[in-house]
Amino acid sequence: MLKLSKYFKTFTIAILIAIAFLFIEAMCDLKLPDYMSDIVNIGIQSNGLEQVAPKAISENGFTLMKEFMEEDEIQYVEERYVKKNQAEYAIKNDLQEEEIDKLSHIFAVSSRTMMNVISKISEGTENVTAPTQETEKLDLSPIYQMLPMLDRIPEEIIRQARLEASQTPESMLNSIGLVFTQSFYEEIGIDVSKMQNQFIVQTGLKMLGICVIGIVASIAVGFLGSRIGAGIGRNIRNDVFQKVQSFSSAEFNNFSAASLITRTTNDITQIQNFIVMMIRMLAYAPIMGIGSLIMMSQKTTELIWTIALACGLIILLIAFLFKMVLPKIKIVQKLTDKINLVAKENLSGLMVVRAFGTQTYEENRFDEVNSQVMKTNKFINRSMSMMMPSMMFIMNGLNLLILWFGADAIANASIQVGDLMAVMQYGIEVVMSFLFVSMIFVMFPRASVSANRIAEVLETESTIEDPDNPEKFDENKMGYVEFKNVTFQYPGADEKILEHINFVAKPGQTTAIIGATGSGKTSIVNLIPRLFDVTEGEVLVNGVNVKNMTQMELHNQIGFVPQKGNLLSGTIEFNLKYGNEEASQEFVEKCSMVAQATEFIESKDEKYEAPISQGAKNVSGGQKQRLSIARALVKNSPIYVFDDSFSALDFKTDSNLRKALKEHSKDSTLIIVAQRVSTIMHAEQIIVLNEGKIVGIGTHEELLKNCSTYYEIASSQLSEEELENGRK
Amino acid sequence: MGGGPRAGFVEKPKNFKGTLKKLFGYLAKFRVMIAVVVVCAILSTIFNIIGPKILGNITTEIYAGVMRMIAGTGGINFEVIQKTVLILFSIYVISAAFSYIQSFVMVGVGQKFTYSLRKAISEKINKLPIQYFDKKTHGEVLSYITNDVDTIAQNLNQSITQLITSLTTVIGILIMMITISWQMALVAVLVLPVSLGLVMLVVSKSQKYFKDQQQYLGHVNGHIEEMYSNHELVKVFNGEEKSIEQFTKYNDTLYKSSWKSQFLSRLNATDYGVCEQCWLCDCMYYGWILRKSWRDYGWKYPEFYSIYEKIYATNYPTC
Repeated sequence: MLKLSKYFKTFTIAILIAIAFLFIEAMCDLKLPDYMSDIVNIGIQSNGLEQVAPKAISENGFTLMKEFMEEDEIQYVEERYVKKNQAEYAIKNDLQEEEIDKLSHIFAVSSRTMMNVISKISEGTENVTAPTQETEKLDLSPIYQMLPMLDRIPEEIIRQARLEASQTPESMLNSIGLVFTQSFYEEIGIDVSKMQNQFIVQTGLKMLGICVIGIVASIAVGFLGSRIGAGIGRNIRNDVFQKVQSFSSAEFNNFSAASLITRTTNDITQIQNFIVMMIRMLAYAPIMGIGSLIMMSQKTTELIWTIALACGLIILLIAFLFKMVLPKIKIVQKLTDKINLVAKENLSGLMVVRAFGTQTYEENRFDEVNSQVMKTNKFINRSMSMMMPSMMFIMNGLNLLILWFGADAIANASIQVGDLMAVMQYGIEVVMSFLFVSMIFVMFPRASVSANRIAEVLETESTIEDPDNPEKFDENKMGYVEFKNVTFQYPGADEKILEHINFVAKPGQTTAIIGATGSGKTSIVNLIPRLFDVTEGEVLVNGVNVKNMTQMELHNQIGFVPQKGNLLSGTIEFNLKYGNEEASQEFVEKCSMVAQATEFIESKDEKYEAPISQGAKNVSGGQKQRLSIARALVKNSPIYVFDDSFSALDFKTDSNLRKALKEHSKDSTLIIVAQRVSTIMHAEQIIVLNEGKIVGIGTHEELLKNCSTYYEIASSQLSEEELENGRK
Repeated sequence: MGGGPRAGFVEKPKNFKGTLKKLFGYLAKFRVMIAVVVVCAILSTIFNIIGPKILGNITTEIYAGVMRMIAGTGGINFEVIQKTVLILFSIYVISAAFSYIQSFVMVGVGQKFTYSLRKAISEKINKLPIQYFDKKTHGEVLSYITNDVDTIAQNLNQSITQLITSLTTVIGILIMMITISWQMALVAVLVLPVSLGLVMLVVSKSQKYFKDQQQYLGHVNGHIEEMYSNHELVKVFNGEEKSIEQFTKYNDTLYKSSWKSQFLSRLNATDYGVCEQCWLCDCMYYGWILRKSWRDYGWKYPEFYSIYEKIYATNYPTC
């Protein structure tokens, strides 16, 4: 994966922006449980009162509260309240948050102290009831009636009550304080339920706003993520394709075409999908996880161990699945290659399959790979589907744990109910993000396999490269093709295909190469356009070693007719003009005439516009050969190489074509590989190959006399009479 | 786990209904297995929904206990909580078991389906008239066998599982919500058409780009296949430049439709569809609480919340 990192660099800014949006999105998601906890804690449980310190209080109430405060507290409070009118005090507007918190604490302690005092002195009497949550209301008037009597309460009782109050847990102090605050508000006519509604509406609106921001951020991430993913995919695909185009046949055979195809298509799609996932998950999950953890620890640190436990279980689970599934994933990748290969072979051999009726064989072959793919995928997916239920179980279990131990914590009053619920949600978030990070690690190997396969292609350098300073052609040797002591073996092969080959093909002459199958004929012609490099010796074209000229210049000199007569998909005209787009229509038609292709082209409805399918399955072998000959001629180069290009032609067409060819290209160098003696018997020079060595060079007549290999070939193909003619 | 784009929607063919019918025809032989999947999904979902309801009992008990503490009349009843936790634990185990059985069977269906689809294509190749291949490149046909089949299988697998679980979840949750407070349930139901409308809007937009994407992917793959198969020919005729130029063109067009379809599919299949629903539900339902019912339903709030959270958590992985 690292090997492809340079493709990410192009998108650095976009990736950073995406991460910024993810951050915003995570922040929004994190803020929601917080507000939710506010709604429960303040909106519902505290009737919408945000603070114990009353914002406004009656004269009576103020006096009452001060009665149960210490001296310094009274001073602190009085400094922060102003007399609004005859019977009302109001809190100052410019107070700091800490000051309000301190005020709240003072009021809460004072309320609790009063409660304690009242319950102490009213033991046995029934005139004052302590407020309970069920009544939720506190009648202040009987307490005010007691005001004048308060001085008579022994100092000892108040001190005792204060001590008890200060030992009460904060959350309970608050609850009591809020009951009083609510009562004070009601006393001076503030609508508490309206305040409560207001608080909830405000919080709700804030949540709504945050939701909207979150959605926008999420959409932005989606937008950037898909662009980055698709963009990186495009760039890699471009580079891989260009690289493969630059490969010589050696690298091509090394990888195999089928594998190169999968690498350029499937593997890159894998990477693309992984990138989109990664941008989303790998960035979002840690932000979310760490954020949740921080938010959670602000509420309580007591329950963090439950999350650690859940994460530990997840690691175990993933490690287990990982170990089971990973080897199989690698196998599936290979099987996908194989299923492609089998289907491709069936497709390209369609004619043969039908002709020989081997459909069942092909289908069985496909079926075998197909069921292997099915079995392996079944195993992988079944193992992987253990993931979700187990995860759900772990998460549910986590909730239970948090509730069980959280209930304890609540009983000890170390956290509030709303906080517990927020903790539950944060807990889920932390575990979820942990899960995603681990999922990425699970997906990583698969993407990594693909990345390596792509990197392999990108890192492979073509063994055939253009020289830095190409030499100029030798003016005196234009059209010459020379082999000087050439020895050749295919890269990685043990055996020499060609040994000590020496010959010169001159312009205006036909040089023919003949020999048994596997004698190295095609290898010789493949060396001329430098599809492979020679092992020893040198190949010269126009008097210059082919290694010392650019491939483009070299290929411009050669009109090549490949053995298979491959055509590309497109129209006939597109194919004919493939080597020379500027060719005029007359010239194209003339070349088609020479190649004996005019007749069947004209017989088509669309003539030169007639479509050729991929693999040229809609034309016969002979037609393919004639079209590819015409294509080479249209290129109008000084040297023509025909690699066994007449084999599918009948004798009459063969002979007509050769005659027309000789006429058309009398100044050109013709190099013809053939198996039929009749095709080449009129050549100026015939090279006879046997097991990679030249066993004879000369004309037909000469060779019949002094080359036994040639004689054997000739005698197997020609009549007695023809042989006799040749000998004379 | 197959390759292919993680597309939410497959290219829409001309005769969508007919194609769908054919697909379901292929599925017909799996009906027993699918029935098992449905039953397991329903059971798993039921337990999944009962969970929060019972979990709600715990939070309610804790809440009530806290109130008793404030009032000084008692505390949290840990016996009740312990009993409930044990019941919940067993429910979670059962739910997980059913959920696993469900996906186990579904994987079997999905893979056998993929297999039979591939097999059918491979057999069809040998029966189709040769002319068919005049207009199709090998790359395209290969891409049917690997990518497209994978995409169908993946989507089918996801869609069926999702359809069943979503349906049972929605019905189950509705029932649960009604038992808690029919007004809250009403709000949740009212939100649905809104988000559904949004999803439909995005879907109809994204179809076009999906179609384009599959088509351009076919072009790119076809070109790759052809150029790689005729490598020597391209070389000898100095066709590399032309080939690369053509490829860049195809690749650029693919890029344009690819990011659009990916973006839109993310919008509808994930964020929009699911989170939007959750979020809207979320906001609307807070709105509901704040407007009227907090006093009457305040106690039930934690219960309701954990059900909501459940929906959220179930859908989270797709976000």
